[in-house]
Amino acid sequence: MAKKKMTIQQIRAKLQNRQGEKFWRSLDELAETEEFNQFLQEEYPHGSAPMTAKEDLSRRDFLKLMGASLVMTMLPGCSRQPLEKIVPYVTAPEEIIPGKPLYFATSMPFNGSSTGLLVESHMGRPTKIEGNPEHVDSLGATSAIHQSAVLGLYDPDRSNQVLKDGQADSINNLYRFLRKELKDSEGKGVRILTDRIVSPTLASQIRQVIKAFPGIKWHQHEAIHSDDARRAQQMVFGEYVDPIYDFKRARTILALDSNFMDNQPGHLRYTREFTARRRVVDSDVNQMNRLYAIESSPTMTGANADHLMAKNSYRMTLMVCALAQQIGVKFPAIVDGKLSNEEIKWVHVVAEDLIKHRGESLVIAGDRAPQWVQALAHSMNARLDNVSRTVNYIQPVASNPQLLQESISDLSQAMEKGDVNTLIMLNTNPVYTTARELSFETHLGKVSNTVHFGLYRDETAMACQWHVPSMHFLEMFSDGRASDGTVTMMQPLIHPLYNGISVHEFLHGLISADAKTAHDIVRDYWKSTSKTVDFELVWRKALHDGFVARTAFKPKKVQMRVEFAADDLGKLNRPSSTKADQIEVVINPDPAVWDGRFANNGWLQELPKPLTKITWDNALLVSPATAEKYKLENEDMVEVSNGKVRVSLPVWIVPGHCAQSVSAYLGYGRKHSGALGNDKGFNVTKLQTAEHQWRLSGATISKLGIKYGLASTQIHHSMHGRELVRSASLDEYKHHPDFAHAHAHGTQGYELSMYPQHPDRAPHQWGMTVNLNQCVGCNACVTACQSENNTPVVGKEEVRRGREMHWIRVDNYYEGEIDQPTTHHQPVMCMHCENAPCEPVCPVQATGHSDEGLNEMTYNRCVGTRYCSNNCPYKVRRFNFFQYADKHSEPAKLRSNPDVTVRNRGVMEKCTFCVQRINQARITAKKENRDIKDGEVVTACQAVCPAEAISFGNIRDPQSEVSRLKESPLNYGLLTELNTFPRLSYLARVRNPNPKLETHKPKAAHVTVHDHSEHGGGKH
Amino acid sequence: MPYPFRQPIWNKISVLSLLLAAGTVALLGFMGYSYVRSPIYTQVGKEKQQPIPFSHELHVGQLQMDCRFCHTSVENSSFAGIPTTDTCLKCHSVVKKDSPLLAPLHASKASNMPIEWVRVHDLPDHVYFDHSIHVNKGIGCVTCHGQIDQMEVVSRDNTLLMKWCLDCHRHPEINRREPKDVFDMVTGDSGSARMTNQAQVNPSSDDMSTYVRFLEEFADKDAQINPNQYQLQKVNRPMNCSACHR
Repeated sequence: MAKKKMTIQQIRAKLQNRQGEKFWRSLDELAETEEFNQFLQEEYPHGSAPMTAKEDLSRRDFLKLMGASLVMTMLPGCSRQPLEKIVPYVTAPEEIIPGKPLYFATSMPFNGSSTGLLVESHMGRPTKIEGNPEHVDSLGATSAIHQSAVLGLYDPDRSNQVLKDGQADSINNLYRFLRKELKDSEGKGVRILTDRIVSPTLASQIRQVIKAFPGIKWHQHEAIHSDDARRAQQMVFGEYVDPIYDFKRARTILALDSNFMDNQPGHLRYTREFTARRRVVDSDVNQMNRLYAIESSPTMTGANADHLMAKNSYRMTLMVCALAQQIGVKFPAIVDGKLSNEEIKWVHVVAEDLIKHRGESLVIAGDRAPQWVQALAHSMNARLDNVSRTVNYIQPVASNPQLLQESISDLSQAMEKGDVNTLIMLNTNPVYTTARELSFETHLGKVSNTVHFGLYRDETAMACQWHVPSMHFLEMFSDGRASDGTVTMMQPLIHPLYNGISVHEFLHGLISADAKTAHDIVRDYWKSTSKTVDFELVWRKALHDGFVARTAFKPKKVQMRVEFAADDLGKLNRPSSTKADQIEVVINPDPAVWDGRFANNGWLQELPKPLTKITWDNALLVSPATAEKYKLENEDMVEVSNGKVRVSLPVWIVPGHCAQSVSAYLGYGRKHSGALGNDKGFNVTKLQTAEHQWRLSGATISKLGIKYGLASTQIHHSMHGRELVRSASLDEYKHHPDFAHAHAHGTQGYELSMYPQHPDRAPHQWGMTVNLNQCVGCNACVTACQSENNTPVVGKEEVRRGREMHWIRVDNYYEGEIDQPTTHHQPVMCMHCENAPCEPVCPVQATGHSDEGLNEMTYNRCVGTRYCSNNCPYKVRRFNFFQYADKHSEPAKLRSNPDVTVRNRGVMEKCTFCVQRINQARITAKKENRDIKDGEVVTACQAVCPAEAISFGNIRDPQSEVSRLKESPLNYGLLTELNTFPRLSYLARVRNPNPKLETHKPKAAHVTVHDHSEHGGGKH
Repeated sequence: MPYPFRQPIWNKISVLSLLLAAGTVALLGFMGYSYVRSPIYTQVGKEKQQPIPFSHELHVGQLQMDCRFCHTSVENSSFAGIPTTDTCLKCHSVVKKDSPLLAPLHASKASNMPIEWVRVHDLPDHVYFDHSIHVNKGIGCVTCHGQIDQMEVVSRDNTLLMKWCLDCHRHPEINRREPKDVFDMVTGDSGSARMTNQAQVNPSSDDMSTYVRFLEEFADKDAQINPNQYQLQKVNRPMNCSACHR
């Protein structure tokens, strides 16, 4: 039955008239589109396609098919165990006990700082990355990008040999060639292009090279840079600084186009500190912080804000100017225009709140926010006495900070003029990542000697004469600095897999014919700077700990301007208003593949991006209002034009997106990233100009009239509009602490079950809580689970069929209107129900119950009926329709966690509560003749969580953390009316909106019990 | 009374062939079952030739070497450990240095390439077995591996079938021995005899009630055992699928 699609107007009307259910997951759900209903009704959509396609299937054909299937399913059982070899070491390495993993401290440099990691190594194979609990930027947590690094290490598409004009050559030939070239020219006409350098050793080496050959010029380029922040700092401080925020002390926070929870230096610490004040359940609710946000493009931070204003850069600047004036920053009018009444009220209330919490408030602007917004944010912090309380300034962590965009433009111009004879590019891919108008690739043709040093034979490598394979960071010795300047060590976990060369050794090779290892180079650098007598001890401790304590940069004494004069105005960009037929395009790094450097990483590609849940692609995010204006639907192709360049992109409608802007994401449309990343998505880099990198105010969009299929998991595994997320404001919570139970349907109890209660014999009964107050929806748990449990990647087409294999998913829920909804995140994995509906329907007892309350999955028994998945109300079971897991290629075998089975085709799988970790803890405890301690079993998702949202432990022990949390009035289970008795429960979300800005009074539905008789079964 | 009609011959043929077909299916099933349970499949007693004809009979039986001298990680890790080339050379750089049988050993040391031993006790890949906990909780080597000290060439002494694992997990007390005897090569019977010398455990204690409940739950009705007959130490072996399969 074809149903006509609802227009956005109809959806709006529907939402307004809706009673009872206040949460929704997607516009498709509201519109009840055919596709959505199909996804809802069918357990695995498209699963039965081969059968239904042939409608005239005769009885004879059916029997043939069944017979063949029977034989085929039986045949794989007729195998004999192959003869296996045991290969011991010749000489046992120190410390390695076969079967026991070791953990080594190292660090990952990314986006201008290094994050400390602990890497699990199984007999020399790094298999899993954890955070370093003692490292300031990690505190034990990691992000999805850190987690995926271990897959990147084994990537078979990594470059594996030195190439000259595409032919294999030797590194020594290159060294000889370059040394001669440098000697002859004395560095004249030689340029070195690097990314931002956070390694002190590497920076010192580059300076050494320049000292030896003074003619060399050093340029820096990275697609995602903070030039705008640098310009704003120059204006306010007169110098470059790095701000360090202290969210522990911040009560009122205003985020201006800032995504401080995601992938910026220090974001894991910031998330930890921010959410620590929002635990609600065991923290003082009167100390709860409040987050206001203004953003032009939807981010995780905005989704977690108590009050969000979605504004384009022009209106944002207007609002921030008004705010700064009220706070006491003096400046002439920066942009012309008037605020709406709503904006005036918002600004007034926020200013009042910030001033009220003087000294414990914080204004934080993103690195890519409009320049004046950033400058005013600094000045507001000064006016609010926040400096040296909630914000400190240190010297820049990156060596030789400069304006990256200017640097690459200079280089490009010099190449055009023919001033560059030799160009050495280290770990950067400018052919792909520079703005098109620089014509970098064309000018590169004028350089006679081009050398590219990098992990992949990427776009730049293809355009270069020489290519040198780089070591992965898990293969090399190096160092770096954390976001606060703490010296952070990097050490190899494995011998280079693909003949990679250390960047330190490469630079050494430029000036010296004597080989020196990276270890010696790094060690000698620190030895030369160290004043201690016993350097060896310091060095060993640094390698062991992964960092050197007390090396953070001291806060600088800064002179900050809080007054600006008329002649300052022109020094920073001033956004202009957008004409009616134009729209602002906001360009962001992709939350998963970043600037494209992770494009060949399957885990990141398949990671549903926060808010859109799109995988394997980038899209143009638009607001419902924009969609209405241009008559767009999801997956419609549009053409975005900046006046010179046009780029075609598919559209994705995001509720709550700013109506005056659209968002595009970098990192896609790669041509030479490797087998997985090539030709995925669309290259937005082309839209960037040398001057405008992040926002194009005068862009136009036009509909192309064709569709492009996107693989979004937003409507997958829907639990159909039940009260899954529960939320209230702080005031409501104070009056009704048990608001989460106001919705309870029916009564429940074991007496209602036909099955006997599971006898809880074992002393340990495992349970979990997820605190929705803390979950920020960052997706780190999804990748951590994938890494720990050998979950395969299935590819875009399979994701479109709803067959993604992630054991944990982060559901998005929206509350309220489609233009300004409140966003909620909810991680959902197996609930380990005590009355699990999946168990009785399994014909072969492949899924059963352990006496510790785990819902177990025994792969070897599973015959793939999928009844269990059909019967699971939470939709958390995943089926291997094909042989998704790679069991044969060497890199995949090396990467797999040896403690978890790699699953075969035809097998059901799901979250096990990391049973391998439970078993390990049990064995350890038993060997030591003691009980398992609370907190000893840490699941992969729990370990990685920067917000500490997940707690796991023994619910039989009333003293355990998880038991205490489950005692909270906020504790509720999903779909408990089905009598499933889930072991995983949630703590309802309490938000802290400012009562003065609450537009609608809390509806009665929040706090009173409604009669949902249509849900059936319940008695009130 | 005779049939009013004479049965056609093909009726008999079809009845016969149906019976025969059923019989064939049953026979095939029985043969399959027998095959899986037979030593041909379980490889019990099947001797496997190794690159070096190492004799446990000589080293353990005659020379009385401790298991842990070579299988170093058996108490600490899931994997018992196979001796490195260096471990062998600790003695054999002096003893029987020039024996031609040891040529692969010296070749391994010279080339720095490991010796590839053939795995005898090979559990299926979906089974996660941990040596350390069994050894630490009083399951002797001999219980699973048999009298290694009498084996010239090592072969399996037990089927390693799941039933065999479960039999012991259901009644671990039969095989448990005192920690000091774990590495002894004395067989199971005398091992359990040692247990009876231990102090009585109060049958009303928690352990005992757990045990009784366990018996009601899992034990074979025919094989009901009087718990007082056994001297129970605190042993809480997992009976869950996920203990071994994950």
